[in-house]
Amino acid sequence: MTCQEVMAYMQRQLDHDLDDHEAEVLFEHIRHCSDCADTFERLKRLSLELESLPKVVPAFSLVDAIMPQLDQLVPEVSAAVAEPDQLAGVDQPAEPFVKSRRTSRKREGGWLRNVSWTAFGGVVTAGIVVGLVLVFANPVSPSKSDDSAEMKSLEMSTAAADSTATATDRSSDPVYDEKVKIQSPEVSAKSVTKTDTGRSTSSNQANASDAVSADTFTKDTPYEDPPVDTGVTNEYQVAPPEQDQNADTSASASASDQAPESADTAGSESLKEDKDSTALIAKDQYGEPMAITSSGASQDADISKVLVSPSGSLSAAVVDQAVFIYSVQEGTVLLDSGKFTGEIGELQWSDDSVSLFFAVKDSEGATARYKVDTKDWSVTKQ
Amino acid sequence: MVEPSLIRAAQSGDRDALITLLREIETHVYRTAYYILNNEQDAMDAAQEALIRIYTKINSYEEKAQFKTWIQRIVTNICIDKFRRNKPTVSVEEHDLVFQEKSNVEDEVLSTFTAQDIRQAIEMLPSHHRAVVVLRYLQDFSYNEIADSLNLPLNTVKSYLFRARQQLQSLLHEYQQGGVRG
Repeated sequence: MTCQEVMAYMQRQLDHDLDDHEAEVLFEHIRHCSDCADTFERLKRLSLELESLPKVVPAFSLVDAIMPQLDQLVPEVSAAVAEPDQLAGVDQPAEPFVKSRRTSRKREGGWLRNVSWTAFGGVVTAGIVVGLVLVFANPVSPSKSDDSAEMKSLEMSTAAADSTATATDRSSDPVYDEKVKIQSPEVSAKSVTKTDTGRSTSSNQANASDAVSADTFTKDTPYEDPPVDTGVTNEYQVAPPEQDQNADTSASASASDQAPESADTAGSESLKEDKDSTALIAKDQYGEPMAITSSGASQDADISKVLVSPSGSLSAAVVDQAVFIYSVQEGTVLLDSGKFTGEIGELQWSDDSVSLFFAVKDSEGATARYKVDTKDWSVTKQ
Repeated sequence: MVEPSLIRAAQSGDRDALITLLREIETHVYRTAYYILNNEQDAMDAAQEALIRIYTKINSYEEKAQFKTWIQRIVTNICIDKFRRNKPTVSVEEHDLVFQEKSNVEDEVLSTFTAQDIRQAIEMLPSHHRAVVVLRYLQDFSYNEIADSLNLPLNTVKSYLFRARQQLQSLLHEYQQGGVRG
């Protein structure tokens, strides 16, 4: 056995990797070779020191330190699990993630009415998308009990709609499902409207609108999830012009199953309340009553109020008369200021990204200023 | 190490189980980070990042693999990444600092001083060699477990470990001799 070969044995011996025979060979060699004996001694000493390295522990609990972040996160479902699980496992944080992605990614300088659906800086747009998506997705365990009946009937109508669907977004259901969580009943009510419309009007108008909006969409700024946008565009554009027809056509639709009808009814009812609440919002912001389409547009105005912090890690947006702050990386909602009565504007980050300032102008024209501290998420009047 | 039933519970959506799981492994995660990055603050950061990642990706752990190698893989990846982005190998100035201290050493300081030597020496190893040493000595991993964690062939692991020990030995030999380099 050469000294060179013995070296490998020595090393392995330190890891208790030698069998009895090999160990014997090793010891026999170093018995007669003082150089190797020295080398082995030094190696053993080194190994001992390495073994004696202090078993350090963190100065404080790391899990406690990350708890706030963990609260915002949801474990990802493995790829092997089917769609429905994805829906069930993903709730609010995932959806704002998408929203904030849109928010931080794209911000139209102006307010583009026609291409509003592609101006994904809008959190609310995403909210509407979610509602729309709901129509074409397979909703599972809805978080809102008041929507559950609607949803169930939607499921059945969705199945029907899916088979006749032409939009490309169908394939990206998981993406939509993630965004399903949604805020207001009014949004899902809108989606119900869409479903009804889509189903009852069937091919012609839906296709035409789809084509139009698809074109509109593809012309516009690249966005990571084209199917999503297309889907949104399709849905939304289809609905408004056909609201009136909706009631008639869906009523007269000779559906073989009960579901569509109940969905229609539900849709019509919620459509009504949806209109009211939406109109309410529109009124507050612009002082004049607006239809749903317009409210969508007016909500686009909020899109322009999205502001990323200088550090790039936070993004602030005005959503529905409340100020939201999102973590850009995680896509989670870090702050919901609650609704203000009045128009929110003048969003501004401090240079160190620790504070966000904004102003609320009420109907009398008085302006109140607020400051958000991102350390404790407090909102204080200035 | 960690109870399989706890892991399964965590994967099935039991959030408390998942948090408990994280608490059980946080020390091991931190320890690896500490010795790879050789800096407490960096180690805290990397360990927290690893824990969050483990939390998020818990469902991607497959029972056929060992849980301990799975979590070590996550933390070593993060550390090696950080390491690549931040620290260069030990600078000459730091090296000199060691010798300056040595000239003032008292006897009782010698033992801690030796440890510092080792840590300094470890810091001079390339990141993958360092990771192998850390997993071998701080986590008591076998060659196979190290190979799984670092996604390296078995022979590469042995080769890295043996080489690392030789390098450490020669570095320490010089320290202990008080030799001046260059």
